[in-house]
Amino acid sequence: MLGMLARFFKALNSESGPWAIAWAFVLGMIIGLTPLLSMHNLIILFLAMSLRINFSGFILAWLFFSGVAYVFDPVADYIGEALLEAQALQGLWHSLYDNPVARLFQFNHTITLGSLVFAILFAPVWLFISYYLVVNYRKRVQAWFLKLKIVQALRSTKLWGLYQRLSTLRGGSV
Amino acid sequence: MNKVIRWRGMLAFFGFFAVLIAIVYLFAAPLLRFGLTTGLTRANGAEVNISSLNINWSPFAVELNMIEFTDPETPELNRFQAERVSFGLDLLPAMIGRVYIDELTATGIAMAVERSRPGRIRADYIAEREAAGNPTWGERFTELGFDFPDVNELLERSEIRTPQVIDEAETRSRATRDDVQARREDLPASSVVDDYEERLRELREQRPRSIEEFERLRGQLTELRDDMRSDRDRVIAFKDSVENAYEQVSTDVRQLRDAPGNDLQRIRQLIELDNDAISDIAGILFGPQVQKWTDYGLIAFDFVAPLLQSEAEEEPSRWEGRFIEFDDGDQATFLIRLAHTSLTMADIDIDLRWDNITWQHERIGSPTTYALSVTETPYWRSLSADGNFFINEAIEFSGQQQWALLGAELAAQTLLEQSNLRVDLSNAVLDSRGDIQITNGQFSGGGAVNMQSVQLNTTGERTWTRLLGQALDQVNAFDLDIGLGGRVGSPRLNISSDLDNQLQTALTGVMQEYAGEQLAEVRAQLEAEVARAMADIQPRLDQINELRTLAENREARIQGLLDEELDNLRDSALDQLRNRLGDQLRGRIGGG
Repeated sequence: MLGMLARFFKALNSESGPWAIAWAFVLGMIIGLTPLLSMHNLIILFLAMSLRINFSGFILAWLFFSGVAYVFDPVADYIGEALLEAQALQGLWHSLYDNPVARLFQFNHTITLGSLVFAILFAPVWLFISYYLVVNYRKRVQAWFLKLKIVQALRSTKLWGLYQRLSTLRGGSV
Repeated sequence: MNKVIRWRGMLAFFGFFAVLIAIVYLFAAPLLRFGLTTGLTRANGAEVNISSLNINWSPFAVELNMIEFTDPETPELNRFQAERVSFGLDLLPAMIGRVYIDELTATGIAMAVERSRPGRIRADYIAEREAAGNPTWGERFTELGFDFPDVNELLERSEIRTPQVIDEAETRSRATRDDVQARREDLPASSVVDDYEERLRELREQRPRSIEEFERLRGQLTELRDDMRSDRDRVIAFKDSVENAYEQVSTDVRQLRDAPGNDLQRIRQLIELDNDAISDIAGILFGPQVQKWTDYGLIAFDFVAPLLQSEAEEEPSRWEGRFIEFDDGDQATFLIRLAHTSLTMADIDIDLRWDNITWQHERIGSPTTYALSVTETPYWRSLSADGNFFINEAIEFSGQQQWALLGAELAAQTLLEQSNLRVDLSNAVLDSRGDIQITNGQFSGGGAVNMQSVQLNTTGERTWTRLLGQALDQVNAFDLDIGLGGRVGSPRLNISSDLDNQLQTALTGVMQEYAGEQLAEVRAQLEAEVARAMADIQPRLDQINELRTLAENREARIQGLLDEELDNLRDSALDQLRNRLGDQLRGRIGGG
């Protein structure tokens, strides 16, 4: 866990694209907010593993939003129930109900549908928020951090140089 | 492309799922076997075993070998077993809970087969059975307290009254005799009556010559009459007391003579078994067997009932969410369109055909039907059964089932086994017809069983078991009427039979015969006591009778004197006086 956190901060401080990290946060948010054992999460996992996003960021976002989901479940339940009981959508739901593939996606489960719809609608907002946070972190926090005398002292030591060389040997960039 | 796609990650993803699919492919059969065993054990209430399960993936089909359902009531037996069950399944609908089987085949079905080791019973099944509290047939036998008293017990219980009657009769006759003796002193002696006759004769001979003489004579006559009346009243009082004494002692003598007979009659009544004591014997002897047959006959309902209950259980929670059903109600979630089951009974394979097995009959618009028909076999002349059931959306059962079994030869079997009694059926030929209905989940109707050529053997060391055996030997044929009640899943049997009446008569006869030998001595003893008492009482009765005769004679003599002689004498004296006075008067008138 600590290693993953370290890798994440390393990526955050590296030259990795802010969009790659932001997309990782989005996918982690979706898989974290929705029930884990759902078919759509296979797709999320596939995207997270196949696309060049920051995987550590994805895992951390997943863990963070899994914690949030414990509080969020009743809200998701309300959203899902409202959607599933909406008169305008009854035709859609009835046709999906007879479709085995749709049933495997558990579309008729209140929390699954509610959390997924919320996560998809929140994804663009969260994407830009994430991007903004990454960019501003690098611009302000990282710059302020590197200017700290203690950090400059540490970076000038032989130990830091050794660590940098070892990281390069292990293919440290993410 | 490489800037966007992480090829190693994609390969890892597919590799992971390939391994997962391979694991499912390899372990699907054991996993399915485990799931089926667990689910069926829950429905059955006792251990269910499946020796092997094979899966064919294309087309998807399942084959189960040697399925055994432990009988929860008798864990040493399988209530149901099948050698092979195979069916094809539409896999995709099955993944969303819609099980459609076009054709199911089950062969080697047998019931009440001994297991290699006793099956485990689920704790909740035992708890439910104990909560229901219905006594088993064996427990009902114990509750009945079915036992024959021995003769000594009977003598104690019957309160022999003859000695008491003898005592009372002797005491009363003694008191009566003393009373009569005491009154005997008041009875005017014969000489007194003779004296009255003498006094009367003297008065009769007198001729009153004057009014004064007549008055004197009349005074003497009145005195005599008063004396006679007084003595007559004493005689009547004595006679009344003797009459009463005679009646009393006669009654005592009658009671005394009847006392031994009454006592023996009372003992015999105790020996006669009442209807209540014997009303459950047919149920006790044949109840377990009929219960078993009924359980087998209704086994399909036993499995469907828990499935229906589990469908009704759903509690929504905001923290867990819930599945909202968009079921148009036009498709069943479970349907076996056709099933061929082969039931093995006594080396005979019986084909039972089922159509439309489901619990959602309103969706398919037709009931589940089943039919069985077998022609003559070495074990019965004919057997036919058919029925149907329909479960509506409100989960209410309705249906009916009828059967006819003719000339079935029952195998030798133990009907009852207690610590001190065992009843075996060595032979019987059975006819049975019946018709049961299910309305809103409630059973009604029943069947009749006619047993002929019945041979029952009783084993036991106690006297009453020997007597019961003798009584059962006399029963060769009887009818059982079986009423079915209760709800689906927990049927209740009510068995009545003329066996109870037959057995009651036979047992009473056997007991009377047995008791008769032992009671002869008792009778002789009681009769000897009565004879001894009678030897004292009879002379007293004769003596009282003689006194009664004496009193009657004496009363008659006195009353005769009173009724006739005194009135005549007075009238005669009066006439004489009148004549004499007339003569004197005429003499004086003529002389002057």
